[in-house]
Amino acid sequence: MADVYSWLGRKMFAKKGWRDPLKAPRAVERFRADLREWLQREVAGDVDRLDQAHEEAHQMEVLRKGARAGWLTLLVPTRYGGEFRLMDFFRHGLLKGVVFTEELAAACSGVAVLYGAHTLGLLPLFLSFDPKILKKFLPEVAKSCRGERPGLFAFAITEPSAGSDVEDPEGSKGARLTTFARRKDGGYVLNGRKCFISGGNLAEFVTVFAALDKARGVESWTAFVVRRGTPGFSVGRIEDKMGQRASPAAELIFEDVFVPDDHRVGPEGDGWRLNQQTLDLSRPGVGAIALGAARSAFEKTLAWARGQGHLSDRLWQHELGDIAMKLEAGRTLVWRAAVTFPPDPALSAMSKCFASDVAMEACSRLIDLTAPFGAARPFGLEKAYRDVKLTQIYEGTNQIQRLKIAEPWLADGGGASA
Amino acid sequence: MTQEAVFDEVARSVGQLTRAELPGRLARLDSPASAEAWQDLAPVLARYGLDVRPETRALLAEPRATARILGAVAQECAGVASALWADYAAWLPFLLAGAEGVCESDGGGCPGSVGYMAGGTLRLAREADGWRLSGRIGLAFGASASRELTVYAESESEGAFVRIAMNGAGEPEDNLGLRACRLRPGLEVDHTVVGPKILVQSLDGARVLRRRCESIALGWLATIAAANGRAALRGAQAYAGERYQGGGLLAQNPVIRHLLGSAEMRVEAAACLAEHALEQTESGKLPTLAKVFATQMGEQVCLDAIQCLGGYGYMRDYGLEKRARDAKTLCTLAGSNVHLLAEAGGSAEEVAPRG
Ligand SMILES: Cc1cc2nc3c(=O)[nH]c(=O)nc-3n(C[C@H](O)[C@H](O)[C@H](O)COP(=O)(O)OP(=O)(O)OC[C@H]3O[C@@H](n4cnc5c(N)ncnc54)[C@H](O)[C@@H]3O)c2cc1C
Ligand SMILES: Cc1cc2nc3c(=O)[nH]c(=O)nc-3n(C[C@H](O)[C@H](O)[C@H](O)COP(=O)(O)OP(=O)(O)OC[C@H]3O[C@@H](n4cnc5c(N)ncnc54)[C@H](O)[C@@H]3O)c2cc1C
Repeated sequence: MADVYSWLGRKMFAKKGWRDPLKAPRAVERFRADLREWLQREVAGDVDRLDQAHEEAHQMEVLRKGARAGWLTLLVPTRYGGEFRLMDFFRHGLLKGVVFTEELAAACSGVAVLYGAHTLGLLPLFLSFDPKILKKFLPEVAKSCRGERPGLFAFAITEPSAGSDVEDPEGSKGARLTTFARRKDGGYVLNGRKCFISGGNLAEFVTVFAALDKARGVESWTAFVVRRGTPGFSVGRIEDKMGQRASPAAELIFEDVFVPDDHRVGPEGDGWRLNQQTLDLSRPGVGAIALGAARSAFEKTLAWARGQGHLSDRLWQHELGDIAMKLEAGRTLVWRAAVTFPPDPALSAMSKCFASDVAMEACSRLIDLTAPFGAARPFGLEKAYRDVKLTQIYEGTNQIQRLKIAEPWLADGGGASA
Repeated sequence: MTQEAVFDEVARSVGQLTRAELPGRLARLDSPASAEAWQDLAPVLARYGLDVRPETRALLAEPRATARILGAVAQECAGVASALWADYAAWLPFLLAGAEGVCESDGGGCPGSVGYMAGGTLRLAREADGWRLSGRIGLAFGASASRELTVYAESESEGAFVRIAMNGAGEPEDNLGLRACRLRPGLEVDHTVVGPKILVQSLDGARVLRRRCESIALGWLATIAAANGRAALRGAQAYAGERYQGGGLLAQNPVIRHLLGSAEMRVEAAACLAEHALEQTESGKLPTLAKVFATQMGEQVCLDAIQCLGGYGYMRDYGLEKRARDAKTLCTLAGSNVHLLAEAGGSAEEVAPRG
């Protein structure tokens, strides 16, 4: 039977150029192999220390190494000195991105967020489709990546009193915003505060969203790039988090910060669109972070169970089989969202929400299965458990994702019965 | 005063103690330095009668009263409650058997001084000058400061509960949660025990006693898990009453109300089952089911409580992430939930209905 299948595969499908849509193309797999090798060499030994202590210098060191390997310029077009080729994007959409993220997260999800936050900060620039702003910042990012301090981006939408409200269109209508920009000759003056900004304290550039008009709220939202060191811009508290501790979450404070016109991303009032489209693109990546961390926990458990001789036990087989099935279902959804162009907001939300939910369930059950050892630090599962919880919260809580999935159904009058 | 009223009174005064004494110590108890934090906590707990002194022994030998104490402590810190759990479980066989000699041997235990017997059974052999104990203990669990351990050992015709020194146990593991406690792997035992530290019974009698002690310990764990979950839920409810998001207070949002309602249902079901199990400690099955259910529910509720606070729930300052770590670690105590369920499912014993 197997022979018939392989014959059919060779004769019929391969010849006609048929390809399994859920298998990464060879180029992406090669990329994955290189990345794994790099992670093993450059990151694996540092994971514990990154998890234990907040050391900015150490976090920067990991970023510096990655910058040299090209990981911070994957989105920067070749003509500006980066690695991004439009043809690759046409070939496999964001697949390379989610494979990159899953691999990083399998090594350390905090490290995945160090890189992911940079991507998140850059995305609004691309989505503005404004060549001037790309030309202004991207060459500098690419150049800095070859130097001592890579020019990181960060993405700042969340405010102390507006978290879900800056993710959810419905909630945004009554959002209690506190960050505002007002026009001034040659630019804008920013005042306010953002919180939980991943990599905000490490970044050279922060893509900040601010309202121009209190009454119009997010309708007047506009995105700006604020440089580190600009007078009036400072970093407040760095959060002490349950997990993903390699990636700092910072409070950013803006006190009469002047931002020149050419640092505005897209036209005035385009902020909400940029925000939503950025999140649509990045949410499959959050799913990939969750899957990467859970996959690594799964692999550790599998190796241990094999060593202990548990794999011959039918209950072990059943449990591991069930967990593997769910993770694979999550990955399938993440990949589908990643290759859907233009991004489908509901599908992106599903991929983030489902993958993070199954990953959390997986980590929890793997600890149960390996009890009492699984909860001990050296075993490595407890970190995945702490790390994965965050993927159900950021970039829109999983409650907000579920509401997002329902959004298209509200388009024609919502509440009224069909 | 009815027995219930006495239990309520105990729970109330322990609650007062822990609310006064624990919050300021939580951060250190949740750190690798927790053994030092115990040094000054233990006398405080003892001052409030949480050690195993003669006056409190009758109370501690009553599983439901002890459950109230553990529940009240777990409202503040499941780690401290688990350390006391190990302590009480370690004293329990002696208390139930009325083996006052063992209890008197050092005038009652300082809270957190004795760890609970680890998985596995040691060999017991009669010798001219006492009992020889040998074998390997997989894991020892107790307060990070504990130095002794109650273990169980069997010969052909006898079973024994023995308190031994923890010397020689492996380095304590740092754990996901319950970091006020320590898990010490790999303890080789090979020595002769004399005098009052051993309680020897006929094999059948010892096995019945062991089973009963384990059932009670499982019921206690279920109580701790439910109390920890309930405290997390209270935190989330309070937050939902204050946080404005989505056009109103979270407490008015149907999605959050559903989340909180579902969490409350689970916590209360877990607490009921735990109580029910402690009324039936002759049964081995019900306490097992209660432990698995309550620890699973406790974990889910803590994770939901974090979720209710969004990003704030993920931060250490809000205390819920610790509750979730503790809750998950509770799932791993006294047997893996997966295998406990398989074991219970394979047992023909019938669970008696309540009432
Ligand atoms: C470690 C970390 C890193 C982060 N990184 C970044 C970053 O780089 N940039 C950035 O801008 N932000 C970042 N965030 C913010 C993150 O996106 C928000 O925390 C998240 O959107 C939730 O907002 P909140 O924390 O204010 O929770 P809230 O919005 O207050 O939510 C509390 C609870 O209410 C629920 N809820 C809220 N509104 C509704 C509604 N309308 N209907 C139903 N349920 C609702 C939520 O689901 C949640 O359960 C980060 C957060 C964390 C924790
Ligand atoms: C925090 C903590 C507190 C603890 N407290 C106590 C305590 O108070 N009292 C006590 O007795 N023990 C306690 N333990 C130890 C724990 O309950 C046992 O060690 C555990 O049940 C495993 O038994 P073992 O050590 O003999 O290991 P093993 O029997 O070698 O088991 C090791 C692994 O095999 C799995 N396994 C066990 N049985 C089977 C099976 N039939 N089929 C397939 N896989 C199986 C286990 O889940 C585990 O993953 C504690 C453990 C922890 C982590």
